Amino acid sequence: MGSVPAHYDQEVQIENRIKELRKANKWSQQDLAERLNVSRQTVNAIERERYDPSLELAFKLAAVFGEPIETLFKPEG
Amino acid sequence: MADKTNPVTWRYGVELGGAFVIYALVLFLTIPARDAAEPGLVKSALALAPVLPLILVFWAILRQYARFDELMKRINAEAFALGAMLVGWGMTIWGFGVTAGWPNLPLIWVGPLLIGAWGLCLPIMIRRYR
Repeated sequence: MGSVPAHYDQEVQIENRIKELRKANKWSQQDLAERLNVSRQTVNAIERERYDPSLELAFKLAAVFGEPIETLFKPEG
Repeated sequence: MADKTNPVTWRYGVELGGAFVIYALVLFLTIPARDAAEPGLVKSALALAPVLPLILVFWAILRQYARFDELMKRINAEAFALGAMLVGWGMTIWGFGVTAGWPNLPLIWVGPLLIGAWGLCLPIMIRRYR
């Protein structure tokens, strides 16, 4: 079993590529929100890294973009 | 698609508005009868009658909460927690004042104060996630 990286002992900020992927698909925040069945404000909060989505929503994001979930989110630093 | 962060959706307005109309009607119909009744079971039943439409109010609020997406659920929960803490501690502090002669706050105001504090704390919590 792998060990937990030392920096995980502290609070971990999560970076994401949602904005980059959304723009690559030429979608507005509202377009993405409708695909995910959430509000535009939620998409905005995720893109601005003010809010980390639930696992369920993270998997939905991965499915919508057709990317593995680990390429969408990574710990900062 | 309806804006899920907007707490004043049409359906919520109908459900909550309808519940308050029934509440007002029950108050209007029962207050004179309650005041005229002799102390006892009938008077208590009339005094507690507005609780039934208040259950409809709670039901409307819970249904609206269920319609929110996960971020808005979190924001509302945090706003309610902060509001409840403010009301709780505010009433405790007021209680100390009562021992010094301040007027007693009627318990009937606890519910409206909680709802009001929730509403006041909502914009603060919304701003945190912008």
